[in-house]
Amino acid sequence: MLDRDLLRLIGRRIVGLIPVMFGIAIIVFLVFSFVPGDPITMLIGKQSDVSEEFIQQLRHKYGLDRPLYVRFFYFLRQLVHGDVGTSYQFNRPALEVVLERLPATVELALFALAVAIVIAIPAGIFAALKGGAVDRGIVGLSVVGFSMPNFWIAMLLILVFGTTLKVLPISGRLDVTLTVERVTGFYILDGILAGDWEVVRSALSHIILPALSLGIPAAALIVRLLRNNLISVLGAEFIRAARARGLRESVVIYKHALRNALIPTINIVALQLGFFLTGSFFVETVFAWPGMGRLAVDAIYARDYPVVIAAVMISALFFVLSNLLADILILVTDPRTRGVR
Amino acid sequence: MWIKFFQPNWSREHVYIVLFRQKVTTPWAKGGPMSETPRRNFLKVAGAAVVAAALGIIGYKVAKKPSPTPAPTTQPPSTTAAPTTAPPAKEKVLIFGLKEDIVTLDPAMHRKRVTESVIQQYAEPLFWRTNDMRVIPHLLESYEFVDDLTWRLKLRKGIKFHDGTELKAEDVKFTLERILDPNQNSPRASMIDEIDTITIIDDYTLEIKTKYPSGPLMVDLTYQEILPKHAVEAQGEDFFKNPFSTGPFKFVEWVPGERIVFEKNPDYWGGPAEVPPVGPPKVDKLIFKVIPDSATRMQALKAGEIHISYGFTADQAEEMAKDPNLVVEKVRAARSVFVFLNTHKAPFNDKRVRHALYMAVDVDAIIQNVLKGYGRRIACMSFPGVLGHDPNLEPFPYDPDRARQLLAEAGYPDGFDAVMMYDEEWRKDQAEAIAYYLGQVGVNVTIQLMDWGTIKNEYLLKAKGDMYFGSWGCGELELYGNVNSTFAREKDTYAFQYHNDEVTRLMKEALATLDPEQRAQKFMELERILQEDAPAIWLWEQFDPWVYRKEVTFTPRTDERYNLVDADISV
Repeated sequence: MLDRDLLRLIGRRIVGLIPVMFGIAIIVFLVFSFVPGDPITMLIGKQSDVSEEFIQQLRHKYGLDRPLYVRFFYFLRQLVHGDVGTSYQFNRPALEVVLERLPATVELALFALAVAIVIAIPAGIFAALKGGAVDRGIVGLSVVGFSMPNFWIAMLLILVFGTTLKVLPISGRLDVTLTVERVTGFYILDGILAGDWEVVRSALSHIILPALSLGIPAAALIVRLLRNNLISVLGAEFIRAARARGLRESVVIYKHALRNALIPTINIVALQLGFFLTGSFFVETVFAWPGMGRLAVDAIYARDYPVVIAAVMISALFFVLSNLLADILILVTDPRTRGVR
Repeated sequence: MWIKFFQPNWSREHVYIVLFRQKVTTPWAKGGPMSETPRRNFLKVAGAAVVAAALGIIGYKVAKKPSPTPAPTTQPPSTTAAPTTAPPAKEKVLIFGLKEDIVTLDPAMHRKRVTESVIQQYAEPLFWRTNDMRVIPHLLESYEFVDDLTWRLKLRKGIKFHDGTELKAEDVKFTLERILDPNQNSPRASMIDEIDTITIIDDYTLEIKTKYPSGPLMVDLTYQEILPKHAVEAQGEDFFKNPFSTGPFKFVEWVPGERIVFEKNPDYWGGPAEVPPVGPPKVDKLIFKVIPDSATRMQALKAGEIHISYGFTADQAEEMAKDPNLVVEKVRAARSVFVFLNTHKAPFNDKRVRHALYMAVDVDAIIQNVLKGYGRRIACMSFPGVLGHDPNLEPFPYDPDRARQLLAEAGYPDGFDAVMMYDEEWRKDQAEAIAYYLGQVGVNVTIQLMDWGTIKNEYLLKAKGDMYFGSWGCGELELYGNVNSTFAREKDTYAFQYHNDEVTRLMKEALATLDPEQRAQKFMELERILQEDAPAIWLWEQFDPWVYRKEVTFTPRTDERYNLVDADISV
């Protein structure tokens, strides 16, 4: 039963991905066709030797002087072959440029998620069960945590741990004097694969501050959600019934209350993963983290739309996948949803 | 089905509603029906778990701390040695903080100063500039003009590429022709497109024929790094994944967005005798680390994660000057800052109005208060050190009364409204200061941030709009560098299509003059005419803070190139 539901869900989402990806690529392409400014002007910058004729020549060579429908047709033809074009800035396939930066973003997102969960789940349970001043304190902290923009948290962390205490590095993914063979692109994993513990240690110390900056606001969100859900579940009749049956309180809380309270929380956690993967631009900039978000924003400034399209498509893919993950988790944890879809 | 894909089951708004609207009931609140004990027990367990976890994390950190690795976390701040990354052996590692990543390692395929400066660590041009900006032969032993159109270049003998083969005339010919090849689509082609033919005379001699006499060619050749023909031909584009040439450093790796690593080339030929000291680099390893955010870069310098950097605001420079571990140098940026005026449009078509605006801005006050001294007033586009700069040319005095009078004479006693576009976001406070001074004489200026492409294509080249506040680099250090495309060329000038026959004629004549002295005379005459006609308000020459750590020996250059052969670090 479960398996069939699951397979159907996954199959439907993957089939649905295709129009989503195409739609997004087309939207970004069209938006960039109407946004003022052109990639060649940005490529050349302000140079004294360059005549407008030379710029026109380059535009012609890149096909940018052709009418929109012609360019659109070429773009679609490329897209069908899985090619989003060549980056103007880097003079390489755009997808390659973006994929190169992907592991950094994914590694950071996973760690941020781990930070969020490690902080939020115990704190949420604690607040819900303890109540009173503890509850108010945790809720208050979560309001603060949620209200602080992540780049501001980032600056604070840099000042405290980087400049003042000098206990953690503040920029990059790895000590620049260390090198590791890039097998997966995840430095921590690569370090383990290579058996180079110094790399692992350095990569871990570099990821702590960015992961905290991304994870803290998310943790604040999850804490409040979990706390509220847990409190309302604890007031439900089946909990009273469970207690009336004489079950141990820990069983009541963990097996009955928490499981029900976690269902909506899981959903949000999975969605947070989507936000981490796509919205970490500020944190990536502040910590000089060579991820996809920073690349995409730089590409927007440079009007390098093949790179933007590739980055947006990958972001969309992540969002769909993290939604899918959320749905799968719900299906697994909540029997009521089975057979409904 | 479609909608479902786009809509997550829980939108962020949904979450807000849950968080802030839902009434929370706490059935077990004080005096509730529940028994207290089991919950207490649970809390004890949970609390203990949290504490244990926290201790575990701290314990991990503490346990890791004393490890003898060179990470930034372990060095006490007092050590003067390379604090973050001194490797175990006494290897000298110099880490340079870059404000942006390079876009390629191919010298022909970019127009970025940072990329060029990094490439120049592994590859070298035919001509080069000394630290005081004289142009001298670099890979060349000598050069001579056979006639106005023919340059005869003699290469130094015995210069070796990193693979051990010798630099020959065919490499030079190949490199320059590759840039000019239409199929290469090189954005640098226009820099040297006056070259007609390149002929190899013998292994060390070649002749360049130009289409017309070209004074600037020598300067433009300082930007073209020579590549080994045999390797580029054999490997094609793949060569630039692991490039090599004759430079003082050998390329090791480029991790995009993160770093570019070079190591010392012990067999480096040493560079020309005019730029002492001659010899291989002093550091063993040179690493460029990419940190785009200037605030982070500043903290990284303070923490010792990087040793040299630039691209800071005046405020950041002031803060870093207080740090005893850092040296802050005020370095000329070879860049003029100005406001272009649309001379095709009223009221700016009246020269009296333009003079009035020029005299209304208290440039010295802006330099002192807004730029914190990181600027020097200029009279026209050029500044000291540029070929064609006339030291006797005085800027118009700051005189708001005279400005008001001129405006009244021109028929604007109550001033007028105008829009000032600008494209460099960090100059916002400068734009506001200029708008303030213009407001003092009755000209109400609205400032508007736009991107360069739009400003250029939609306004400047179409002679639309009122004013443009911007800057233009003059790395060529010759007047044409920032006057030709802005005011002087025959068409498509960027100063709102400004055109003046005299200016255009003088520029044309100057560019065809090979003798620098005579060229300078033409430039000076041109600039006098330009200043008097005032199609712009000339403001200041920009200075940049360059910052490096105390343990580093380093000489910043005024052309934003990095002299790292001579840089040293004490370990």
